[in-house]
Amino acid sequence: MNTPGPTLKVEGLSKIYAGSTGGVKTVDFTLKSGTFFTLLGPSGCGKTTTLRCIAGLETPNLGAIRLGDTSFFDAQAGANIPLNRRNIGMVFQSYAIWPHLTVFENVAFPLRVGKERYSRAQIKEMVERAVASVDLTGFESRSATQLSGGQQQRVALARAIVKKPSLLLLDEPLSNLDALLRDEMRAELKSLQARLGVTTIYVTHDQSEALEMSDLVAVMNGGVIVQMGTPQEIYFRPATGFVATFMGSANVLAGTVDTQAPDGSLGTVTLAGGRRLTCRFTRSAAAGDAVAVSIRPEDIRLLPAASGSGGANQLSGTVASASFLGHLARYTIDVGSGLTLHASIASQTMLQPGAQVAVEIPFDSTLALAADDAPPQGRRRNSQAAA
Amino acid sequence: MTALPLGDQAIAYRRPLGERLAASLPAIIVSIVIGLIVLPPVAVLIRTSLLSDDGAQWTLAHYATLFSDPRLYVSAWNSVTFSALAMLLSLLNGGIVAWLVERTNVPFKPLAYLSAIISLGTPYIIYVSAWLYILGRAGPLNASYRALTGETGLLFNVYSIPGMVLIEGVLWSPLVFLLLSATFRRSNADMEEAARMSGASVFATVTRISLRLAMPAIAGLGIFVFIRNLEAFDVPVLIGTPSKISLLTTDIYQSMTQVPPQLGHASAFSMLMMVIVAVLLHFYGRISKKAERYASITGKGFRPRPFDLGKGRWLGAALIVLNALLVLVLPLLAILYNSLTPFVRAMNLAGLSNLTLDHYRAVFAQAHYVELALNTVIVAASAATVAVALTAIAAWMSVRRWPYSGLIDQLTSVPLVFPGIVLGVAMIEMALNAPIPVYGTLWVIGMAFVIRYLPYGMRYSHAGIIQVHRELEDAAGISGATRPTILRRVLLPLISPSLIAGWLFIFLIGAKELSIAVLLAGYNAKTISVAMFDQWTNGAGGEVSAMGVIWTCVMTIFSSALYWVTRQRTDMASAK
Repeated sequence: MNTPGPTLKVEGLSKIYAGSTGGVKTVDFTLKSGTFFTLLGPSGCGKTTTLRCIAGLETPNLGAIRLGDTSFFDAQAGANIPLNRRNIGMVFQSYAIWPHLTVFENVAFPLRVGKERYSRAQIKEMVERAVASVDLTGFESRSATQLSGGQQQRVALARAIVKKPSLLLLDEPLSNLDALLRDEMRAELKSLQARLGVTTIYVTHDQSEALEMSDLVAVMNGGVIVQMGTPQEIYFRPATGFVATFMGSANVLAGTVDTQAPDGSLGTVTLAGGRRLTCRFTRSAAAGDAVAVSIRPEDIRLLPAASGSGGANQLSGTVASASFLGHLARYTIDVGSGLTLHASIASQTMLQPGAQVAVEIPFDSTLALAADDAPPQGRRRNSQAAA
Repeated sequence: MTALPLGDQAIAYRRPLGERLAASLPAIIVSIVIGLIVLPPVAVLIRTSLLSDDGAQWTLAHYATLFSDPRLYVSAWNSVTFSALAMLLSLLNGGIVAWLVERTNVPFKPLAYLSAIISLGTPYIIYVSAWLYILGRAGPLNASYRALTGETGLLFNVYSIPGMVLIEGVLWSPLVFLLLSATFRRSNADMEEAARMSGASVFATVTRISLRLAMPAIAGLGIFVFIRNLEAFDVPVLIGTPSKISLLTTDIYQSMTQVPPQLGHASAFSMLMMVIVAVLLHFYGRISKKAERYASITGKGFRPRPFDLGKGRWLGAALIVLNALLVLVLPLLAILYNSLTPFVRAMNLAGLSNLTLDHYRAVFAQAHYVELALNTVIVAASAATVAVALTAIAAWMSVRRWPYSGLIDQLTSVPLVFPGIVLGVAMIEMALNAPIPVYGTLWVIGMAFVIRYLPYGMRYSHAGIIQVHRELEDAAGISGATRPTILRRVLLPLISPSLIAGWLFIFLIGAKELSIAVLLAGYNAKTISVAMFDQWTNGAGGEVSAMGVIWTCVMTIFSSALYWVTRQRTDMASAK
């Protein structure tokens, strides 16, 4: 594990399905060995297609996929290694545990069918090690159908790593587990990956999974990578209104820049309804540029009367609706000029609908981002929850 | 966003020629093999129907003769009446029993299944001869009528269209029951409970919700049974022919058994029947698609909750018992009685005191019968094996959309348009022109069975493979397995229950098939159904009955196995 392993390079990858809107328009990324990389995005954004192209389950139209000196796929050179010769481990969304085989035979399958031959003793040792690393020792002779969802998940993982793959691909592996088990598996998966040091590509639509587990996250939309960076970068400096929405910002508002503002400076933006907000610019912008202004609901302060404190946008509004979530209360505030804001506040005291409140939003929490081609709506959050 | 740079300097990937060939060749080969199996019969029929009798020139004369003969329209009318009425009878009988068994708390449910299973394996000729006895002149029905009223006539003349309808309707009830009970089993009880919660009575729920939901399935099944009745040969030849009621299938049979056989006429006739069946199948296909949309399978841990019929359940029980009497007890008793009496006689004390095992001795004494049984088993088993093996591969390619697999589905459904007797005509013409002497051998019968049952094999294989999640195969590929390895180590073990069920089903219907084999059987190459048919027409009803009893016992073992396997399969599917 001390010698650096091969680098995965995906260049200009494209896979378009005739007569459909899905697929991958163009995707590029380079991963150092041992990286935990997450492809994050709503359904139909091309993340699973990208993964299946790397696995060899789909043949791309354009581009190249290289691992170190090996070209898995190269459109220009005409190279395409079939999937069963790529030595990749993969965990599927449905786990794909073969119901007619025992746990042992499921895990041993890659060792039995590959080109390399292993002795009986080698197979036994490798399977036992893989099974132990996912904490399933003692379950080897069970039929796969007698296992719970979480255990099947572990079998799938053991099968994926038993041959020491050069690459580990995980296709929404946690989406079929219940919430408690999902949290537990996140931590285990991350620590297993760190122990093995295998380059891992993880596909999910759940932003909290992506933030918790990844070294590097790529947010995809419409077949392209919208932003790639560390979890902190993606969360605190979203590139576009879409990324901000996807990372949990409920208030993404369209506006235009008033005066030219350099990267990282404060500047003012006029919103569609005519209201003006002071924003922190994450990218430099010229006067008249269209931007998306993102305000996280938890960054909004609601006060009985304006405190007049500096460094914050001061608004006044009426509580339109209030809901109690336990640790938080969620409000919709009507601030006039056709503008409503979503706010999440500690729930010790509840405000009633109709109450007059002062709304304060710190300048540093009012982010001016690049506008998307299609301006994001507040509704989009719901469609993601369903995705 | 950036436009796709196709056509710019970037080069779109195209697999090398060798690889593309390797990818497309398997499906092309399978398509050609299936095409070579299913298309020649059609081609031969078209050709013969358009050739003059001396084979010298192309002519429409056969069609002209066919359509100018007024008897055609009489036969067509008879066939349609017979098929429609028998279809209604079996839908009514099988449907009510299926609904009672699957959706209510009626007692005696196992009896309904038992009746259906045993009847699956029994040759139709046995049923028909049993019913002919029960309803016939000397049978218990008319005998007791005479004894009670002192009349000398008949209460019911079985040699009539109503008689044929009654018997054909009873013959098809068990299959209707099995198919509809699958539909009712899958239907979602939530929808019925929602209706009950909205204030509907049981009757209103059934008529306004359950029946409406099942309607496409019932209509589809209705067309299917109608087609099978139109193609039916056993009842028309055993009852219609003696009573001078001509039907389409018996007309074709007659023109083939005349001396000399009228091949051209029979072929033109066969073409006509195929066109009728094809049109009906078209509607069947459209309705089945609709039925799939209505099927409300909900997946996990789902149990339909039965209606509580209250006291009415005893009425339901009476219906189930009546059904069992009709499809199982009465015919079997009649056939058992006939196999034990020295000659056909009324069922009375005098008859009972004269029972003998002579017919059984006669059956066992002749090596010929053992040979017949063996022939039948060999032909049915080989045809089932070939059809299932071929369709398993074909269905795999078609379900997983291999390159060039698009035609496979259509090709395998071509034989659905061949009524058994039509396929017999086509096979005779092919065998007569074959370079190797196959005419009158078991090979021709076996081949005809393969052709006829290919669609059934496809149906079972297709259903099995569709249940296998695609990722189970992908995971094997990622693990390093080649396609043959995936087939052998992952797919085949997973779909084996479906394949076994398909094999048993084809074996069972092949073993009792009469209409295909009757024209193709040679003197030394008969199946048991043909032998029973010959014996019956020779007047040896007692031996036919004895053979029938033995054969029914043997086949019941296979049909129980079929039932058990398919039950396991649905259990497995619902356990996932």
